[in-house]
Amino acid sequence: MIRRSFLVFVVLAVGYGLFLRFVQVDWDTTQHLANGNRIKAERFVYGADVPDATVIVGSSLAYRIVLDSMPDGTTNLGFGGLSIYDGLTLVERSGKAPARVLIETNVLFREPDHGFLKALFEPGLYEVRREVPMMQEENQPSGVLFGWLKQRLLNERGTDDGADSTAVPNAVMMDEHRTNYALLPADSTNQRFLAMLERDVLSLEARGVEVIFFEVPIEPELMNSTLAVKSRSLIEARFPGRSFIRSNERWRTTDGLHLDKRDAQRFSGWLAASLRNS
Amino acid sequence: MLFNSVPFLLLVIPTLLLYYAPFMRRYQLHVIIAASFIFYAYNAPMLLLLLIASVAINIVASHAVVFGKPALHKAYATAGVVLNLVVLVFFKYSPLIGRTFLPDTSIGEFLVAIPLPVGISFFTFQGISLVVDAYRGKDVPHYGSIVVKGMVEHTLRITTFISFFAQLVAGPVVKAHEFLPQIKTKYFREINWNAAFAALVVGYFLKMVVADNLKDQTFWIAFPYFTGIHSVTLLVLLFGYSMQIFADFAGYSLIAIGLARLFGYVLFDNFNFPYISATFSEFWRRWHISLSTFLREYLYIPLGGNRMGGFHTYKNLMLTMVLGGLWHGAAWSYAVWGFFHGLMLAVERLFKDLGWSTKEKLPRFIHMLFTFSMVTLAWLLFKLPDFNHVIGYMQAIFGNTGGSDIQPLLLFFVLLFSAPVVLYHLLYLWTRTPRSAMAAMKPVLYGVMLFLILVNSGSGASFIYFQF
Repeated sequence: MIRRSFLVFVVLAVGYGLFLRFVQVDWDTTQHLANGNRIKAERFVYGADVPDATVIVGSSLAYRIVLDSMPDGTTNLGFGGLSIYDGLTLVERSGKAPARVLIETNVLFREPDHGFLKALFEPGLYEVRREVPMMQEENQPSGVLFGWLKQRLLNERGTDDGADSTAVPNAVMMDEHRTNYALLPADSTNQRFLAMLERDVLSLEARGVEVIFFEVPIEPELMNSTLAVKSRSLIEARFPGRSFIRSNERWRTTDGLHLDKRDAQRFSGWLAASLRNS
Repeated sequence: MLFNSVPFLLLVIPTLLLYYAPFMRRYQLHVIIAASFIFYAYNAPMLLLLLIASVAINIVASHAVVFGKPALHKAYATAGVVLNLVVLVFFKYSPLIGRTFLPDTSIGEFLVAIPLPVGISFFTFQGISLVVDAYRGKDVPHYGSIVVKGMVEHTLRITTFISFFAQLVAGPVVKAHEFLPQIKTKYFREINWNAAFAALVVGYFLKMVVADNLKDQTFWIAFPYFTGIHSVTLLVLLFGYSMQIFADFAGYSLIAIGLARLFGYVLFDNFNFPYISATFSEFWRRWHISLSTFLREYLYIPLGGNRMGGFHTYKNLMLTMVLGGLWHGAAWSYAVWGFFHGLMLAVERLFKDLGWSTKEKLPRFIHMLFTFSMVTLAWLLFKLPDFNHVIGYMQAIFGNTGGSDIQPLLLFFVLLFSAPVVLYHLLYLWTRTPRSAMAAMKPVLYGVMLFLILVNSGSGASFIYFQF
């Protein structure tokens, strides 16, 4: 039984390897947030160097930035549930030197996810994944199957109009955000995170990378909350002379924090224009 | 150290080779103990001291129970059980006691800060089983071989029994009378490869492909996310969590069983297709069998079981289930979960006693559906330890019927990764009468599972039962 099981395994592995080799899987294979994070990270670390590249690092707020509107060669390392420090670590450990790095400043006080980074750079598996595409996250059969089905359905029904069904932020979520944004971390915590950020920024700048800070718009009430105001002032005080892009316009969110699809698209265009002007 | 990690592979392969090397035959227990200590100490070396202390307590207590002064045998056994319980209560329940009874006090803060050593619920229960089985040895003939006189050999045997890495951190809860009689020299040629292979492949598949992928979908059950999710999606997520918790724990148990097989030990099945159960009593004969039999043998029966009839039976049942619930975690929601299961068992028993059984009146399928639905509903207490959030989730199931999206992406993947668990149970129902087609299909199924383990595993994570 064991021998025959391994035979079936080999046939499937070879067959799937050939499928990936000869069929261009260019549809979105994302299955969930964590899987989407991993796909982005693998594409970045295994991908070729791009001249004049721009890299966005951030949280789930930056996750929604639409690359179609951004300059060519932009990579979005905005990770849902993760932090800017994860994105900055990826830039550093990949050895790549993009022309500029955009750092989201909304979520400064979130720890890096060591589990995420450890799993990505696990010795042995990291190298195997580079050489064997079927072991990369974006080629998981379940994601490929769903992406293919989704693409077919969209082709039949027309493209997504980009609108979210909820125009008003969820009240319970807003209450949670209000509570969280009214709290300030202790000074020692602030300083620890800022020191970590400063170390990463100086390291990038030493490699000739331009660093630009930006803030993703959230509900106005939260934009003016204790935490948001403090974060802004800490960044400006710690990193004088750097560009800091921020919009005073009103934007629509789904839950108070995350831009809805239409405004994510609009904000991406606005950010691209601001970059051109900066 | 996780079973599904590279360091574990790097530990287990050399251990296996060394274990079966002819020149190491006399030292097989030493090899298991060394590997188990490395396994346990890998993430938190200091906690190894606690494991060693727990092992030491049980070595001394079990030896004294059998070879100490006969007049003190019962006292030694009682002391052994109490010490195991003290260790368990101190490390596991101190934070709960601190939060509940001593909030905003320095003692309370101290209690809340006590770390929870991984696997403590399992190895202390095994210690209790050892001491009790040793004490019962004088009445049960085959229990007599559990404790040997030579202290060195006894120490090696008990250390192996309690710390064997296959079942150390998340069970199954192995009883002393099941494991210790199996200790003897093992030979490579005696390995049951087919059984080990089947258990390992199904176990890793359930854990890495099913549970780990479902975990990232059922994440949205958490507060406050569920408040903005459509009722249909909430129901499907709950169904998915039910599949996830089974796949996670049954997967872990199967890996443990497969690993033990490689080292020549047979651990009994911990899950027997629980979701086909038509009653709660059947569910507890099929779910976490090692715990339910432990609770029956070492708690329910010593409390009096159903021997005194009437009220006492119900009281013993409820007490056993509430304590069984609390064993799962140091939060009152686990006690409520145990109470709920105890209540369902008590109601079933009452209906049976009154002759109101619906067994003949309704098809088995309806009973299965009802039992599954109730069990699944109760899992919410595992996922949402705050009772208010459980109520909120229930309200959202009935209230979130409009406004938000059904989220087809979430539904698709929850149902896709739940399908293997459903098929696993259906195949069992189908093959209860032997079918030749199934024998031919087995290598194909194992091959497919191996392939999916390689290319479709979810993001690695701790096993849910590690927290217990």
